[in-house]
Amino acid sequence: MGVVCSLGATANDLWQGLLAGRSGIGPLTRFDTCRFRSRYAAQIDDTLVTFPPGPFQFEIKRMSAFVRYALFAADRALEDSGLPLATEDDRRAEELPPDHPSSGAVFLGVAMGGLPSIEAGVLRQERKGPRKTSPFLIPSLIPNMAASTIALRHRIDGEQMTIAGACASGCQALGHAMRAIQSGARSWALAGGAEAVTTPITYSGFEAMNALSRCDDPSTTPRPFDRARDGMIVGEAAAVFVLEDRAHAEARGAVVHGELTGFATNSGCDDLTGISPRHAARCMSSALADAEVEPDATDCVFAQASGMVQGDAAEIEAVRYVSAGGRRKPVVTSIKGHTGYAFAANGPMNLASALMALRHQVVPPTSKLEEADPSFADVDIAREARVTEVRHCLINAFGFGGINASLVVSRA
Amino acid sequence: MIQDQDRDQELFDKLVKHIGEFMEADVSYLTPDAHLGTSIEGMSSLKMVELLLYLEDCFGLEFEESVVGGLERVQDLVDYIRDLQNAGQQLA
Repeated sequence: MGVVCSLGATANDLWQGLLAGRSGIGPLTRFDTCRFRSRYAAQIDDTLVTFPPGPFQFEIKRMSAFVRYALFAADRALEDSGLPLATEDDRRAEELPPDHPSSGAVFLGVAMGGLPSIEAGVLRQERKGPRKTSPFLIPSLIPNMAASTIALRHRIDGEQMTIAGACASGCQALGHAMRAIQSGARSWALAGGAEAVTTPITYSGFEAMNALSRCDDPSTTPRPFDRARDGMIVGEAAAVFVLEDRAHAEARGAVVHGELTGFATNSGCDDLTGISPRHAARCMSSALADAEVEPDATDCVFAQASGMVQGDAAEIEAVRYVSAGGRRKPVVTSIKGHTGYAFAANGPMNLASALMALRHQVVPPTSKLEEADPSFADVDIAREARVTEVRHCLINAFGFGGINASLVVSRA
Repeated sequence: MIQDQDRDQELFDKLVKHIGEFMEADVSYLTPDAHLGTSIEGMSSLKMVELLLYLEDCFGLEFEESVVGGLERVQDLVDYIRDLQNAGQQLA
């Protein structure tokens, strides 16, 4: 797996940050925030995001940040997987023969893509005139370019798919990659999500929706599940995984971090931008059924929980519904207090955290939770890192437009 | 005449330096007769468009699209930039 976020540039950085209760949220530095009420973000340290020489080096520098972060995370995932990477000689080789079996594929979830590039491009056009627009503007911002640069840099010649399912995109991409492998169409795929939209129009757009936290202390916001939660904090992140057919992985002696055992995605909401508890619950139940995991065998829910008043409450209601009647209830946790809200990368970031939880048998804490919402009193929310048996984790991601997606990841 | 030759050489050197900056590569192999579209390693049609925008900023000039599209050699670009600079000086 490969991760880059405000806590660092490795899955271990993420995990250590989660366990230590480290907050990746701080003053926003990518633009002047004086006109905005929300002045914080969970930003990636760009000095960590570097690339070895390779194809499209020139173009990659001109890509919107989500492309670079996705490629960086994919590079780390491939390194971690031990899959043989295309060499420079391979890249220079003649085209593969038509009967050459396609190897891997790329499935990437992206919600808002190159929004910073769009905004900068519009401003440049209006200030300097249309002819000063860079010819790389459009390639830099189209959502597929994350999957495209990954596929082209690594000469992955199966399909490259980009899922635009708002904040459920990354979760859906992982699920569709899983399906492609289960069907036998692919033996392996890179899958995950990326988002980097720390740009003024993101802030004005979400402020208009009253979605951003107005808290003036970055060490206490966002506060998932807290009674004083008041909105989300924009986060930048990419998390990409090598998904592989078990027999294929075992045959080459790969280290297996966990097994994706269930996936479901469905549609439905009562409000265009809200989470519908009944639809979310149905999605979670379907994912568990797909995994053949009973609700009371679910050890941990890695929630979407962004720190928004209604969204957190709707998700808790859905969890309550799914786990009703079970002999034991899952512990629920949210990483948003550490990493901010990373839109399409939410589900993949949750998956990275869940894989580390499976490895270490520890549920990470919900950071910044001081006083839980009294209406969540019947739900077991992880306040501190908890050493416990972790066999199956449920991962949630929900997106505007009534898009729900859940994954189940189990101990390998 | 010698002054003009010195100025042309200076302009050529400056142009090669800026092309190298833009391409992030050593392009000291370029000669006045080198073809703009095919002699610069790693060049593409999009990069050429952006290179010209970059050179406009470097030299503080605005190129005529209809003219630069027809320039083939590095020397053609040197001549064009020199002419624009001269025209600018006359206007000033």
